Amino acid sequence: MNGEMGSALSSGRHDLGRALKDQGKKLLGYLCAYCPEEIVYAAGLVPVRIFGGGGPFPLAGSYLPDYYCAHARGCLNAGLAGEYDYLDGILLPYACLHTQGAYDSWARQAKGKYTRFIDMPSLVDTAEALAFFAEELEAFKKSLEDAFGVSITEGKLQEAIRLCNRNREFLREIYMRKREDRPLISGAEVFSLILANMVGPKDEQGLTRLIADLSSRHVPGHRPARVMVLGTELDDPRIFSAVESQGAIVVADNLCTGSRYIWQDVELSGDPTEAIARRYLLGVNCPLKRPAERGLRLVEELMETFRVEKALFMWPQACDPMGWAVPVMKGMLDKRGIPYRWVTMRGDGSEEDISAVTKVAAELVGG
Amino acid sequence: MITEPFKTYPEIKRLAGGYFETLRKTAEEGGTVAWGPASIPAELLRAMDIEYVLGEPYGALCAASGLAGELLPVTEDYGFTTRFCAYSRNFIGSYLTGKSPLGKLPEASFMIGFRAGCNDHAAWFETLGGMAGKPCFPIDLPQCYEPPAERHIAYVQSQLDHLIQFMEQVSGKKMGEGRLVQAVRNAHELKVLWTQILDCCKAVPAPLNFRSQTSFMIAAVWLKGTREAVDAYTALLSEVKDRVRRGVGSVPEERARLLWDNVPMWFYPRVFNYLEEKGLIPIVCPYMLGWGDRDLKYSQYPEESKELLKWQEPSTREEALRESAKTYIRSHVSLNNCLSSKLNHYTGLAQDFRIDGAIFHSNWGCKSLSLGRLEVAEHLRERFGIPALVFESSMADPGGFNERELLGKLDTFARSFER
Repeated sequence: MNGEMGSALSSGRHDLGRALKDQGKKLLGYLCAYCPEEIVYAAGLVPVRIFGGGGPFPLAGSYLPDYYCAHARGCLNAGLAGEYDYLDGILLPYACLHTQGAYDSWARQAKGKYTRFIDMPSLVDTAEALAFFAEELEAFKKSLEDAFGVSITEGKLQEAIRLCNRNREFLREIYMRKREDRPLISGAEVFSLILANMVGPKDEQGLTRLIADLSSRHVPGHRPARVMVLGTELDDPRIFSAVESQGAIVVADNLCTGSRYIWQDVELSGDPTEAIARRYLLGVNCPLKRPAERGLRLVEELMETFRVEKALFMWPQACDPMGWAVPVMKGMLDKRGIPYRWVTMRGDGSEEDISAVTKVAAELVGG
Repeated sequence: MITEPFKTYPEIKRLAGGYFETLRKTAEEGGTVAWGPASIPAELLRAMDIEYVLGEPYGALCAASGLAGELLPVTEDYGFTTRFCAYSRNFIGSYLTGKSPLGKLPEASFMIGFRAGCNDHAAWFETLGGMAGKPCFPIDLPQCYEPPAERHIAYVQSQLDHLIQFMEQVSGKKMGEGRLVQAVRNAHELKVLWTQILDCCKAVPAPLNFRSQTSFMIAAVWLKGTREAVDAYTALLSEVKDRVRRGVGSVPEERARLLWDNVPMWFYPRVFNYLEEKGLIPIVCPYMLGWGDRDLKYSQYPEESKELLKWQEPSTREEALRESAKTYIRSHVSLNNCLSSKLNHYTGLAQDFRIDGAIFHSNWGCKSLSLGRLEVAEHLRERFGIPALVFESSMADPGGFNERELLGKLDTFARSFER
């Protein structure tokens, strides 16, 4: 895989952030997949998805009890520990109350930094939700202009939309290579690429190079079992590697850090802010958003596109949005005759999680 | 200190009992019944003679009646293994088993989802709608971290308007303008009365304690929009004021006045006996106040926003929906807004109600109401130098509840008032 991106994701993402800062860039950290990256780029800032890294999370414990999810506690812990001290601001597009708790406590401590909460409808497919969210994004734009002394013109927005669309297009092209019977790229590699594009600037050159290099790879000798990972937020590629170590390939996922990040573009016609609002309302499909069947339809579409044979639920404990979706999702899998297994995860990057995934993946692939 | 029973309680109990009877009959006769969270604009339903089962009080009844132990495992077996809202898990268990604290869970014609800070409230009824094959109308309230403006009101008002159209379609009934206006007025009056009643607890001794408040709140929750509830609360306010004038407290001894945070463990009311035995009396609870209307008293919004959200007597359908939208935004943001707003809110309550200490139920059964409370507790300790106990449990899931551990914590907490 692309070496720079790989290192940006693993140990080096904070180094990358600090290096960008040293180059005079402004960075805005965000806590949820609903961040309208296009607006952040149009303001001349670099959006950086915040991840928590490995546990335990001793600092966060004074703010969020452990019945809130590990992702939220991990992000808060990293923030309070100063791991993201290079950020110029923190953003939360409102989705679940776990990340809301992380944002509230972190923002309170982030004196002198830009902080912003974007109100988001939970009901996404109505005209009033679109109108409200578009207005909210206008207010967000204005707040960035005021805070950073910039002007977000329509031209800059269009340019940022093209940048993000191209990035999604490149990532989708690579992701789609997993449709092949013997894919030349693993699920873990694709997942790492997507994550890397969330934590640093969009790297068109790197992605172009990778696409060209793929053709020189050897076709694998065996046909792996085609597995779909079902979950919400995961940010550790080792989880995918653990599945793939058992003779499978993760051909698809419904993660907000995976397919849901790249699956839908922003339309280039019409008012750009409204187009951005529409993409985030209708294209991200967190199981938290209503109607929930939208997210289910996306899963079914991915299953067909990637000829999924088996599914693996990766359930981060205390993730309420996913908890609501599970029975319906299981019903759909039963109806389609797709075998599935279930892994309950701590979600804190622990070795226990990796072992649990490896074990259950072995049962799933072997079964 | 003297205390005496409440003369107005039997009437409120009668009204609540009467409502459950109406609900039962309506369902039996095939009338229109909705299910939704307690935050739904029940006055709109009331104005169309649509009865309703409210999720949170129903879940509380399941827990208080000892049914939770039977219902929760069934919900889990169905596939809901996450410990999200404990009320919703009880409700789903009741739906799946047919077991109900009301004898029978009245069958629904439709659902209303209502996100007011809690996403589970939207998921809960959409999910149940799917399970029961009934339509669900979801409504969103904005969080309003930024000061509320016209667009926030318009967003909610428009949804309420569509809710009426949806209900007219499902029920075949028509919303009358006069009845709508009157129901919205009644609902507002009830909220104001409830606030005034609870505000009387600023007196020393407090005429009501948290436990008695939970008995009286049933009208504020279930009977929104009715004239009977307004009349009952008018009488209750008069009685409470009289108790304040005569120095009648809620218990024989009010040694320490406490703020109780969050919903209680409905399956364990004994906690309040234990506190009362020690003279530790919870007299104010932000959650309880959330059913009233404090007109953003402790809010940090600019005056312009507060003015915009102020109640104005409606006289047309449009005005009624606008006032209803404003009311729900006001009620919601007073409890569920950003952390700095919560700190302001609790600081104001601590001062106004002259509290000596606080107990925070860190409630994993309601993560929404527990958000930010560790910092609020720490803030009260630092700002006022008062003890603030935090303990974990669930309002409606007795699984893992450790009575001995809790009582030990309460003993230690009580000793801090001996110094």
